[in-house]
Amino acid sequence: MLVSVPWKCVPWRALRGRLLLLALGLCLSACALVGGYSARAHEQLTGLKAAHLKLIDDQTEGPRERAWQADRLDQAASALDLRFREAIEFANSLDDPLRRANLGLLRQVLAADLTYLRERPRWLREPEAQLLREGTSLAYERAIRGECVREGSACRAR
Amino acid sequence: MNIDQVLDTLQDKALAQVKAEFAARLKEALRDDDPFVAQCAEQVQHALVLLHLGQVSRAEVDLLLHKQQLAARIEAHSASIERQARLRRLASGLLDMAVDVVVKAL
Repeated sequence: MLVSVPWKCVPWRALRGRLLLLALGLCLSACALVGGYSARAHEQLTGLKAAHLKLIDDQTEGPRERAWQADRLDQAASALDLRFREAIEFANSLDDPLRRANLGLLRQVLAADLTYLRERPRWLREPEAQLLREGTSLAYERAIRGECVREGSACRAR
Repeated sequence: MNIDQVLDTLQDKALAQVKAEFAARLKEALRDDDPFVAQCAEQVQHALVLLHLGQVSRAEVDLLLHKQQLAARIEAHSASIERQARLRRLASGLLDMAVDVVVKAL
């Protein structure tokens, strides 16, 4: 059964207020893709950075006299890969595409370093290690910044 | 050794214009307000000095540049996160005000 509703004129002032609320609501929903700060995601990024830089340090020449071993690099790479998988799984559970994308790019940084290290089966000289550390740190710092600029962040964005 | 001394070793006149343009852009980037741009430029300068001194090879410089490209993509994502977070804070604040003030006045 059809019910006819009488047309009611809404005053412009009331309509303007409702439109404002609607616009703000739309704006908020447009930002919903980016989630807030996650202490666990932050900890994962800083941990990945430390582990990656340690891998480079462990491949750098030092006072030790033992020979370079490919399997040591493989073991370190495998351990780091596991940490990446854990971080990506966690990012998937938060359903944040930008956090996931950044982890994917950091994994590419690791892949580039591993390819470089495997092509030169020897200890790195210090200047070489220095350049490797610089590029790697830069990428992680940018990703950590991406976590620190989120709402509710407990860290300072640099 | 600074970047000018490194670039001065390039003798080929055909490279002179490219060299001058590169040096100008690098110096501009070193002074950039954006810390990411300035940091990238510092790293490139450092890499070129090490390359000139023979302490690293082209492979290490190429690897650094590749990683800087990946870092630039991460930075773009982080900038987008920052913009959206700011917009969200702003919209949220305005919405709170609207609920408190505008709705009550209707």
